[in-house]
Amino acid sequence: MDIKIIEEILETILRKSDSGEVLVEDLIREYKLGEADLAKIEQEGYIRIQGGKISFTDTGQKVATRIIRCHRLAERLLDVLDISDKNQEEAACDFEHTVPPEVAEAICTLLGHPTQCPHGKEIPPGECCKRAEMEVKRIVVSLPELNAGERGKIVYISTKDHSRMDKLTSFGFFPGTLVKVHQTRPAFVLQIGQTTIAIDKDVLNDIHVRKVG
Amino acid sequence: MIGSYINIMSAKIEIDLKKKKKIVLVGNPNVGKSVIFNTLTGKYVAVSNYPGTTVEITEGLSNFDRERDVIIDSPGVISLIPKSEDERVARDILLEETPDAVVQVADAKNIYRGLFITIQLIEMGIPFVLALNMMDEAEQRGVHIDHKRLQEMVGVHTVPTVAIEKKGISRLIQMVHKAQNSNYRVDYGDKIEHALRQLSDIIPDIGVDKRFVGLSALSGDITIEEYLLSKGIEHELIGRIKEIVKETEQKYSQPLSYVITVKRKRAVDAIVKEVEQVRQEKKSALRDTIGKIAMSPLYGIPVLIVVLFLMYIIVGVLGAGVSVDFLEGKVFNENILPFVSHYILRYIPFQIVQEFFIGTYTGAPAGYTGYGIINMGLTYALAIVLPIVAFFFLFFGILEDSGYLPRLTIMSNKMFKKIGLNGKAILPMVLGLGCVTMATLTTRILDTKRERIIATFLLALGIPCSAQLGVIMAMLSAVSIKALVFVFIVVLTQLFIVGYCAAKILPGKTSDFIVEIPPMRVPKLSNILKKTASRVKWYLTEAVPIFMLGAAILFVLDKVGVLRKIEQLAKPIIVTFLGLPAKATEAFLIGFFRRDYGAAGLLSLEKAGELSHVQIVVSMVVITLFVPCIANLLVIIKEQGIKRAFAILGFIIPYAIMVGGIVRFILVYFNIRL
Repeated sequence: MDIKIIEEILETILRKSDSGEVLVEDLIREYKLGEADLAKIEQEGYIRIQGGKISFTDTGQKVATRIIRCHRLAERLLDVLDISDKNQEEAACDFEHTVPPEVAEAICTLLGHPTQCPHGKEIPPGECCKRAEMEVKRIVVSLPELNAGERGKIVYISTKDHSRMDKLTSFGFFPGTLVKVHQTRPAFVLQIGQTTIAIDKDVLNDIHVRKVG
Repeated sequence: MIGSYINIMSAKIEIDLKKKKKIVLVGNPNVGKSVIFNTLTGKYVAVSNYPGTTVEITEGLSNFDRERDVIIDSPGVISLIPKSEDERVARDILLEETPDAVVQVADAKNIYRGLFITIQLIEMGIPFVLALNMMDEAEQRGVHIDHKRLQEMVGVHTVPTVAIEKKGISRLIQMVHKAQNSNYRVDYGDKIEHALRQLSDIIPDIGVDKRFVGLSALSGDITIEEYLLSKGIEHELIGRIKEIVKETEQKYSQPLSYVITVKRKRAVDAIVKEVEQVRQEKKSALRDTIGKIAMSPLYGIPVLIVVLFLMYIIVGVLGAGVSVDFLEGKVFNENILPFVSHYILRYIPFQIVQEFFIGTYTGAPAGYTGYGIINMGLTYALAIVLPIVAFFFLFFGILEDSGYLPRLTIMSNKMFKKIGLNGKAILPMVLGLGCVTMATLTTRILDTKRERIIATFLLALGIPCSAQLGVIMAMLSAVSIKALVFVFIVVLTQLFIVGYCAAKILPGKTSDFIVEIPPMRVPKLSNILKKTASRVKWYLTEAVPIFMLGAAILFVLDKVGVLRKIEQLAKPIIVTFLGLPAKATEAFLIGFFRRDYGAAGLLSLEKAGELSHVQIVVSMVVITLFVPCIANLLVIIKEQGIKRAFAILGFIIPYAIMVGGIVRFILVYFNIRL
């Protein structure tokens, strides 16, 4: 069986497992898979089928996680590069199969170890994230890393705090917004459009930008 | 003013049936809304371009339509889906007051933010007019708005204005009469639109646009539930609404409020793209440069020192010095008091009642002593505190209108973070140097309850009001500059220590420091004068009666003998522990009713040569840290509740005495000469 197809199916199973148990009949119904296909994947040692329910083996889990990670990293990369939605999905699908692990790590580092894809889903962390690699020159940095006079375009805001998110949004902090740093001490003073805003450094840590011009 | 705010909250505004219309002003903070309010009304009530400080709702009668319209100014908001008390008040005013027309004031150079509110107003179904204010500043920055196209796109009359120059106002008034709502709609996507339809089906007619209610619920606005309940909607129905919201939430991986905001943002972006043109920025004016310097890490402090020096000149010299001397000396002691006492002595037979009014005449130079409500209460309030406070308000008004105050928050942020507050707290602290009572009210601009408690506590503990400050400085400079600096440092360290501990003890975290910095502007004298006048009016109506009440209470306590009893009880502490003469007790006691008099009582002891240098320093430390004045206490009770107020009091009194004792010990033991 083509490894690509196996990986696709494993990815599907992992995605479905996000919303609860994965039942064989659901997979067959929703994704038009055959029982025989699933049996083969079980034979290869990636999954276990018991009582109509599917669970991963260690190997299967690793493979599926890797796939998802690459897919979502690719989505994030394409989003940062401003590739339109249409092309994103196809390209991301290809990436997940063809990108070797070291390349994935490099891309992850380049993007500053993003934790979410553009759709808000979690990107499974890799080795590089755990080491918080900083070696490859990053084009995406967190806002406090900009110096006075520099400008950045917000790529994503990764805060889990809803009220902070709301406050930031209302002041104009949004993916796609251009921010100019006026000064960094004693507090950050930023300019968004015609508005000047003073803001504490801690609040800015969650905002990630791509340096511009 | 505070009173009318409370009235509005309980929606009990009395409406004269002859009044034609109710008009509400809405808009972002810092857009000149209050200035527009003033151009539309005959009276100027209070202008503060402070986000949050404008919690006082101002009402006025229109200066058009033969004064029959009521104009209500609402607090500046970022959104009408409330995240703060201000926004809630603004939204509630729109819902509860059912205005006949609304004027949305927007900043022409920042229409992006204003359009968020425009869309929400359209969704609320309210007829309104959009005023594009500060067009001059926009032009100066090369921002050009095609207001005709904007009007076409949003479907609401749009009027460019420069409120401060009264440009565009007559046209605005014309359009107010033609206020309308529009058909403009934001498409929130299939899933949300579906939910909105479902919600519209089940929400009955309660006089509010159903789409707006639906969007509020989907955006996670909890206050809308209370509103619906108050309109008689049953719990079951509310439960059903919540279900629909939950179902919709699950269809998205991001919070609904975020999704809705994104859709709105896209709509706003589309409008802005079509109507706004930014040309090359023109060269910065001098005031922009000053604005930058005022907040820079290098020059910020020197600028602050200059500002403080100006404050000393205006409030200290002109206010505390010249005006007080004139009012207390010439006006009261030489004219008013003798005049009044003449009549009191003639027509009121009982000595005790005479003393109740004017105390006892002990001949020059002390004149009238004792706790009469006129010689003490009124004189103090009008001749001593009023001029100082008036000059302070004047100075503060200049700071506000120039745009300097937000820049001050930048510099103080780091410092305040350590004691659980953020840069915004500098505002009540600075205001406290004028009048701690008013400053305590201003703690409302802080975002969390915890911060408000800490700020209130510190204000009561160690911030001397201008009346007290003047006397303290006078007394200490009679000793030496070293003494002044010493006391300053002691008080400052106490504020830090107590603040730090309070921050550690009270649960919760500090709110995020995000503050908009407006451009520096040249303040208009007429605006400042009007602002000052209204604040002085507040003082006269709220604070003066309290001072007179305080004098009355002291009078009774004195005559009944309670004062002497307290003196006896306190003596051991004052004399033994603090090393001060027994007479100082009276000064501390009086200090509670009028902080300045406490200090002044000590000043007279000093002038009579009865206090050593050490004693002066110790007493100044104690009096500064000592309890707030009675007016302040009453406001704390109002804002924080009786329990907390007395807890604060219960801490401050022993703490102030303890610190005084330690200071004395250090000075004596280490034989420090000041």
